[in-house]
Amino acid sequence: MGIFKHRILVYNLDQPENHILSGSYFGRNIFVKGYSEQRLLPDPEDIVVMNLPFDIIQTAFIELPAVKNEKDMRRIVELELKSIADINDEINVGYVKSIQNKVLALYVKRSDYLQYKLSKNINFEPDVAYPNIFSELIIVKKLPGYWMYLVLGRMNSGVVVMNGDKIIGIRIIDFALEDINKIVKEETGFGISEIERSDNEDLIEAARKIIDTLSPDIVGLLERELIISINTTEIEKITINQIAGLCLICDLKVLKEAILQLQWSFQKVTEAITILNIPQRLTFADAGLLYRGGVELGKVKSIRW
Amino acid sequence: MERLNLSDGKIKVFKLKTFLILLLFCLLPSLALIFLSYQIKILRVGELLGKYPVIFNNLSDFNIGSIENQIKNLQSSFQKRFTEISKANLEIKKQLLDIYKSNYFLNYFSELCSSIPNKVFLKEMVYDGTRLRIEFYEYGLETKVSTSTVYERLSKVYQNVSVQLVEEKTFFSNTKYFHYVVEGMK
Repeated sequence: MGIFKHRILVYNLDQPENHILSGSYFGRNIFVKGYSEQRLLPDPEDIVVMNLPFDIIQTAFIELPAVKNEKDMRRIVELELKSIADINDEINVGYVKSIQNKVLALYVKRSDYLQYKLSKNINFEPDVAYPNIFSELIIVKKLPGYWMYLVLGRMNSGVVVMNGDKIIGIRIIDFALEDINKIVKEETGFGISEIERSDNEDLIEAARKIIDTLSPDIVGLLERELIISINTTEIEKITINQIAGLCLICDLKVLKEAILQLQWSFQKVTEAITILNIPQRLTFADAGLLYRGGVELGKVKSIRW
Repeated sequence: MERLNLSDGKIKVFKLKTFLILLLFCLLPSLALIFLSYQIKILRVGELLGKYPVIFNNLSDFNIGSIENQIKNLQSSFQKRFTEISKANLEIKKQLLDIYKSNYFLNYFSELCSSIPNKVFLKEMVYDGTRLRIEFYEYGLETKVSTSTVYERLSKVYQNVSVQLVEEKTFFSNTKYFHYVVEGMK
């Protein structure tokens, strides 16, 4: 697109309709252009970011020797994975540094990856394929101490246990906002995000009532999952008393408020703080993917609409 | 977490336009440097031309290798002309001085005669090119010729000047005559 200005295209394939977000990176800032109505094909020079659902991704904690070179590290992770998990297929590997020389390796079989792309009608190679839970987590400020980050996504949800900015456990929950959205839609005729955007008091009140009746069940489910994930951390055994708090990452304002009001068995349950101001119209996942696209080009200081 | 990527790895490509612009950006400093050095060269040549126009007017060939020899030749020829001219100048000066010296005593004597009220009778004036001898009488109540002034004026041009009052006699009543002899060498 240019030498100083680059276009970033975000293909968030979780969304049912054509949901392609475009923005331009210029001087460490990302300027969001908006969602495109039609299917947008990328230019060869564009930075294309695509999300990957967690159901085709597998994770493993691996201990590695201290290697400085990024490329070598990736290769070593791949070899280790192949020997540990006994994989014969070609895999795409990524990793996130964890504590004590360990890394959290994420991998996807190439056949699954290609099939996913094919099913979503993507016939070009994206610059970045980024997993779902991480796309929300990337723009959230990591707090010092043991914190749990509960990501409620549209199709996948997950719990990430972190010590500072190091991941010590990750668990995917069988909970999708889309299910709640469906219930609300059946009752009121509109989805929650549509209701929130409309600013219609009656509709918001109706949606709130439905969610208030559902929220104790949701919290019960989530709490159970949270406790399981605390007890199943692989690399460091921790107890619930060590957890400083729970950070909730959720796009739906009504649901977030309803959940935060309820009584939790955790000491502190808060809303997530983002590392930079994101426009209200962007979801956490879209903003995260856009941020990730910007990181390909350099530092990102702000995202503006 | 920021570097996590699970894609196959896209090969980064440039469009021809972008590539050409980048190429231009890379070449720009060197082009600017070449242009600048060219301009500085022109400036320096202009300065040299202004300082030494004679040399550049006499250069026939601007080949760098031959310029030094040409300048050496020019320098020696100018040196030769300079010595010739200064020699001629010296000769002319000498001649002028010679002419001046051969006439100076005449001028001075006539000036002396006209400047004093007494009558002067010139007995003898000899000048053979080197030796000068003037013998004259002055008639009057007292002498008006100051020997020291005459000596001073003549010794500026001639050497071994002597001004003598040979004799002083009463000529008629209180009128006297004074016999002077002036001698000198050129």
